Amino acid sequence: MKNAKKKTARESLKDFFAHRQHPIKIFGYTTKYFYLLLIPLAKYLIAVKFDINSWLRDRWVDILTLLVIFAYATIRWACVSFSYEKNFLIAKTGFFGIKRTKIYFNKITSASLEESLFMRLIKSCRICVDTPAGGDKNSDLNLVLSKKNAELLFNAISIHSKKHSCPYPKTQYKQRKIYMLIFSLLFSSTLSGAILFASLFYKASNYLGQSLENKLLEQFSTITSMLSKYVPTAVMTIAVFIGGGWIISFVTNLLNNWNFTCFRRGKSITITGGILSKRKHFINVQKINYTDMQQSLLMKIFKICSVRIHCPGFGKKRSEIDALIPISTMEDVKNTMKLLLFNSQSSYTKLAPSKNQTKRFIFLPIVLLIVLTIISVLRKLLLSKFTNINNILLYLMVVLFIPAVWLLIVKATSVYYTDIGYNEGRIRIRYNYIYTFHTIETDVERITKAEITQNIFQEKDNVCTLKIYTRAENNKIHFIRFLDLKKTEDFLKNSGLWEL
Amino acid sequence: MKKYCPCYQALNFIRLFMTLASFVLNYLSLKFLSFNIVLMWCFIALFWSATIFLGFIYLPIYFSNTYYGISKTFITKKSGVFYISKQTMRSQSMAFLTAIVPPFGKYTGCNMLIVHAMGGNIIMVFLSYEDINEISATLEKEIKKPTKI
Repeated sequence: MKNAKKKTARESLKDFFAHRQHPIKIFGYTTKYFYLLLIPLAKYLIAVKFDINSWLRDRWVDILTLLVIFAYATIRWACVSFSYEKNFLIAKTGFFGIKRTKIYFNKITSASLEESLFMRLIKSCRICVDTPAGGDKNSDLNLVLSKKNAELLFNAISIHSKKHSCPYPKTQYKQRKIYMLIFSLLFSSTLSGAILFASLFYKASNYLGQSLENKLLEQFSTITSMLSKYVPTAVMTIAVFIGGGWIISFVTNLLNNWNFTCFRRGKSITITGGILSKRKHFINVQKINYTDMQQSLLMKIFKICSVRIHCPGFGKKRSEIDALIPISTMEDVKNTMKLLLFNSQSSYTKLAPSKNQTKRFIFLPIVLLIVLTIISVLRKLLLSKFTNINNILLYLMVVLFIPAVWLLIVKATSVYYTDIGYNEGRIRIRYNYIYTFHTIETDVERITKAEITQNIFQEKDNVCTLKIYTRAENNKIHFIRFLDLKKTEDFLKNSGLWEL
Repeated sequence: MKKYCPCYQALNFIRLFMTLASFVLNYLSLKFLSFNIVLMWCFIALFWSATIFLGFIYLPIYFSNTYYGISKTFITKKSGVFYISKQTMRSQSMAFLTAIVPPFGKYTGCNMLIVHAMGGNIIMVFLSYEDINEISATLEKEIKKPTKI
């Protein structure tokens, strides 16, 4: 009888932990004051040479505060729970678990598992679940579970799609490593690297204090003052910011997407990848809003492209890319897309702007070049006496002229790569946005709105801009510019978009 | 379409809670702000006028103007005090539900149900415990149905 009672208590405990997040989450529920108290307490303990009595006597208020914060965090952790059945999952979240969210598996668009290096050491995993509802910034459900529980829940979600019969064979696509390197080289951005560095630096300085910030600024001033003999300090600062941010972004992209592999099973796609932080994504193919083949001009010349998919929840985090095929040759992409998404549309009834609209495409880059030229001339005429400002402006003009000329070339090329096509319920939109060429493919049913706009200059030549809104958690608009108005209206009537 | 109204138990609970809170704040003001009589009476007047305005003017009007309509095809919410707003959502576009039942929600009636759909959500407040269960059960039947998109 006693043994039976013991077993029941052990089983209850096991059951309790099976429906709770990983205990590491307790530290997630403490505030930053926990660490602001803990670090000085630890330092004091070392200073008194581990004399516990003295430590307790002198710092009892801080220790008590720390215990209260930890107890509150533990209670919050204990109140948050989850469970799942064959068709749905229930999560109790919020303060003391008062928020009860029930999500049916058939409504889930994507789910992801993330294991950072630290999480792998403590055998925990973050699972994020998304539906078409909710915001576009955060996942609908976000839990930190033990690796075993996370994998079980992930399999329960993904098996719901896999079990539906599918006439097509199972497919796998693995990204070649050299292409991954090219992908990171092409798609790293200074801004994302700078944001990552800034957020890490802010968190570190919150806990370690002002000294870290001061040391870093001191080092930076030393380096820039050494190099200021050859290059102006302002230009050096900008160059370090741009170069440093890009390098951080490049390394992060490479580490996050190494070993990128894509599997198609039934109505689901599973994407895995990453070295330091391992990721696994489940995507419900039926919930993919559109595919987006992206190319820069250089990529067009070398016939390579990147394929992104827009599915609610996929690629939401800053560190994630929403790529189905990060980078590959055009032929490889077409064959892989047929295998992964079973789309085999080759011919579309197209509507494109006429070639004599080229002047409209290149108008803005030419204006930009004229403005830069005027500033250069004014600089030479008015600022020749102020050497420092003159040099800074000279460098800036050189730096800005190159992308402006490149923009002119890209916009001139985009005349040949702007159109909208329709074939048996499928729409294909090709357009250019700044330096990137997009090819969007989607079903007519996933288009929520079509809008024709005309400014006063376009009215004269009877041209218009067609805006296509696709289904998304936020507004997603695709612009096809300088189309003939009458032909656009006919196209919308024929494709069934006129009612929108 | 079945109509649900906010539970008046919640209104009584809020009135009671605000009255008790006003008494406590009243006492604290008398104890700690007695050095400045004008400031003390300003705070006391503020607490009691907020209690009277919310408990006996604003919330009763809100409760009488609000209803939630649940049918197989649409969910409707009508609410407001100074201006009335009406929200309608297709049942087809529902993605999931979140029910918020605080401690003693069964007795206070201060329960909330959020219906999440693509593009927005409908928040139903001051539902009784029985109503929140009934509405959840009705809406879940529609959510469970598979949709093409």
